Amino acid sequence: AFSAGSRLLRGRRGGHVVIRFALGGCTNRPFFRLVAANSKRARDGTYLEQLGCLDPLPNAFGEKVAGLNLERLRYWLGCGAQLSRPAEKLLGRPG
Amino acid sequence: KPAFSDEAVQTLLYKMTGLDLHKVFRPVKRGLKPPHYKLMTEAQLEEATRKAMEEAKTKLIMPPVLNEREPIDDVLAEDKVLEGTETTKYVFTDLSYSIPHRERFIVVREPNGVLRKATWEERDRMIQIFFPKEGRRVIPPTLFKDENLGTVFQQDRHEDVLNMCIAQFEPDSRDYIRVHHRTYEDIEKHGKYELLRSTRHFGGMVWYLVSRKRTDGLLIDMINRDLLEDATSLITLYHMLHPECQSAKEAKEGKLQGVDLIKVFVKTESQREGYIQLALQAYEEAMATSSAS
Repeated sequence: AFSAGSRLLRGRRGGHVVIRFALGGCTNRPFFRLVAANSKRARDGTYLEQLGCLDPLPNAFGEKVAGLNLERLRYWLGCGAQLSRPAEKLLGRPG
Repeated sequence: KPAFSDEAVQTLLYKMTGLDLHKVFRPVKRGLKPPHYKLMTEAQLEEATRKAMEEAKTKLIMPPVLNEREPIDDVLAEDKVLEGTETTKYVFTDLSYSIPHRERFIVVREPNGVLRKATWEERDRMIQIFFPKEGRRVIPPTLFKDENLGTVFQQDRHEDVLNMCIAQFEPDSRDYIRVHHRTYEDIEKHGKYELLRSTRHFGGMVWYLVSRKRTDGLLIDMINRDLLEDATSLITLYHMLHPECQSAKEAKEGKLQGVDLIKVFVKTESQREGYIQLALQAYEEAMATSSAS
């Protein structure tokens, strides 16, 4: 119990909050989730909050569908999170 | 000019819809359960029918009739810098939970660098993907195309089509309005008003017919079924919508009621006078024989 408690408090110590992509999906079918996580964590491991998603394969109408939770994004950017390079590119598109 | 959602208009349409309990509570296909018998006194039976009437009233609330929404054509930015970096469109949806769906930002970045707001169809699809609603499909079913609608009408399933349409589309989208107009015109062509009589689509149908001045079939149908109050309310609604026609002025001057109102209306407005006169005569004979006997 004590170790679990201290591990929770360690959530943001020794590492900084990053907003980056986590890869999911099946073979030959990638699916990215925009995620606010501790930078020391595994790419697909536990995250602080999911902020959106991106489907890199175009659908029947020829679109790449992406969703962004702007309200929570503003919160994390205000808290001082950093962005990875592909996350910057994605967020730069809608301006 | 009176709109669909005015109090007076709504009361008139509600009276015309009729309240056939057997049809409103017709068993929807659900899992089989053995029927439930209860032993009740007279007072309890009245209480139960009263509660059933109130529930039926909520079931008969009419879906709104709105004008067609205008296509969105807003370009937010043009960045020639990005041209050629992509091959496909990118659609961005704002997923904040507490924003109403109408005000969401859904933007599309085209391959030529233009950033524009998404069209209504794209908006509906995206909202259905991220916030799925029961009864809707992401891509509208092929049932709603014109050639398939004809097959459904031959099977007399207008009501099911309209219910599916309400679940799938927004009330002010082009497809919704198109499907509804097709249904109403088919019903009027074949005179199948009875199919929609006790459902919540009846008001919309009456509104459509009255605004296009094609009420003759409906009037004949009502007189044949001895629904004179409905016929009078239909004509009052007609007068409310088209106050400049001659029968409206005569009715206001004379303050006519009941059968006289219908006769005046028939003389001035309708195209199928002969039919309506015959129907009225038959009705009056039936009234005379029933009151005599």
